[in-house]
Amino acid sequence: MNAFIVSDNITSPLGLTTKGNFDKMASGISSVKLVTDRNICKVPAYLSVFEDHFDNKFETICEMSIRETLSGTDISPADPKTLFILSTTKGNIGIPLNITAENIASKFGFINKPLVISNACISGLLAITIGERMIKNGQYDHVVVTGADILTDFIVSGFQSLKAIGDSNCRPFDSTRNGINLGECAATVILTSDISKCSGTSVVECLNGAFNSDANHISGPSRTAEGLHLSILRTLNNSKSLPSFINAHGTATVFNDEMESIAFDRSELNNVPVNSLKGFIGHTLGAAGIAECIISSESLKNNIILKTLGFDTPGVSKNINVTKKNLSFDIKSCLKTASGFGGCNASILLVKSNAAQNN
Amino acid sequence: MQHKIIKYCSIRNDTVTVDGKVVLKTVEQPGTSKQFKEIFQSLGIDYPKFYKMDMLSKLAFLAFEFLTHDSGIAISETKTAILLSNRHSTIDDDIKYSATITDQNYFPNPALFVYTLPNVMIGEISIRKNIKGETLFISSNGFSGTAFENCLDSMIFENCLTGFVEYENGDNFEAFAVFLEKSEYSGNNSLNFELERLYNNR
Repeated sequence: MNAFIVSDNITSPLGLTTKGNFDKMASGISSVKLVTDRNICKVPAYLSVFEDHFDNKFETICEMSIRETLSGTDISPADPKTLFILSTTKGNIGIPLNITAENIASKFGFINKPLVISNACISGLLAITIGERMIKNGQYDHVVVTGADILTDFIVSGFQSLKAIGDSNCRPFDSTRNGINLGECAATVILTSDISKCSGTSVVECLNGAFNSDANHISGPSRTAEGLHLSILRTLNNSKSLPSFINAHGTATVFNDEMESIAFDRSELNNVPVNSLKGFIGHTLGAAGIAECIISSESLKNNIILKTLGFDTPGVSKNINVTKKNLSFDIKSCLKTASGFGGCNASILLVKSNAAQNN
Repeated sequence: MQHKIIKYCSIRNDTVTVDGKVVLKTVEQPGTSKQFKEIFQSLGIDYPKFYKMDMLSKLAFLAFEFLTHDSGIAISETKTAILLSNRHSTIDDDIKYSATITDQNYFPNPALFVYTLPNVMIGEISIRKNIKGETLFISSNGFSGTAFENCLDSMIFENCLTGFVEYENGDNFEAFAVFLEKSEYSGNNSLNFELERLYNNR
């Protein structure tokens, strides 16, 4: 069984739909700005946050994202072969993650107990990978994968204390980069084994998700990019050609982007176009891997690789091909990567195929 | 392919058991740094990083050390996986970190903040054992054999360190650690059933 993306949504301060987010990104628009709200950060920071007030913001944005995604398909949460996976780093701090996931699941009538994955910044990519494998193994026919995090002073001050927050809009892979912009977001994809449920002229398949540890340091990336390199090798194993582009983690910290350049260099991907989407909606933590897979799948369907907003002058030690402007050609596949605290790394291949041919 | 349980370890209250047999009764008050230090010293290993860890990572470290340190457990650099779960994530660290960002006393502590992610205890074990295979943390309401089996079926490995490691506070903590292998034949019972049986008799 193959795992196809049948429906998706991004609920972010930039837009409340996938299209709303993709169109703004394609026009070079960002939702990152200086935030001085002391509930979110006692020390002002450049962030992407919702301006509207939401009661129980975490669950509310998850529900908005899931509702819109489910409306795009007839796949039912009540189907015993449908699973709901929640990806988050912190959820609602103080409330067990599983309780939050069950609250959300009950609103939509999911029968199966939700699976909650919390693995720092690779959570979203890991959730899609586990979902993809569960479909391939026949464990489930459909998997609804939602990733979300909201910003509070807890998270923002933590990254500030680690000196990982940038002093303005972030600049991934650039020589002047000096840190992250954090962002709030909920993003959802529905994966299915049933391609007949996919509409549109082209459909995106998730392939060969992999994840590996550095076994090196709990908060610093490996100097040899060990885990990410291993993961990429497994994802690209058996593939006959190079991916059309790489959507990197690209957080704009000095160490992350340098580590990624080493991984891409070791994997001989130096000429493949690389982009990072962090300049548009910030680093959205548990949502990042999912939101970025969705935008990359839009790139495949629309044949537009987005520019890396904030990138100007190469600032990593290895020669890699970071996009400075939007590129347009026949785009067939995307290698998506992510890395996080705890020394974890993940990668997956998104491949476009013609829906009519598969049917 | 099935899974075969090779060895298991439990740390609860004042007792450490391996394969159901008591290997240590502690003197220090359960759930305290002193007790964890006492358990660590009983292992007779030299690993100064232990003292820098949060309580959750210390507990996970100890349980998996009992499981692996003196026997023929074959850890593979890239083919051993780690799958852990708990209910309360890093609540003890979350409370301690939150105390450093109050309006009255605002000095966010980065050394505490890095431990407010539940997969960091997995990172500590992977560093100790040089494991670069697949590692995953899932949240579950309590110990769930079904949840473990469901995830293990979608992970790629030859053998796996798995278990339930909880540190809500000094009154509610436990570690249940299991080493299992992929095997052609594992017996008549499902992994879910075997895990639940061992957990209930720990």
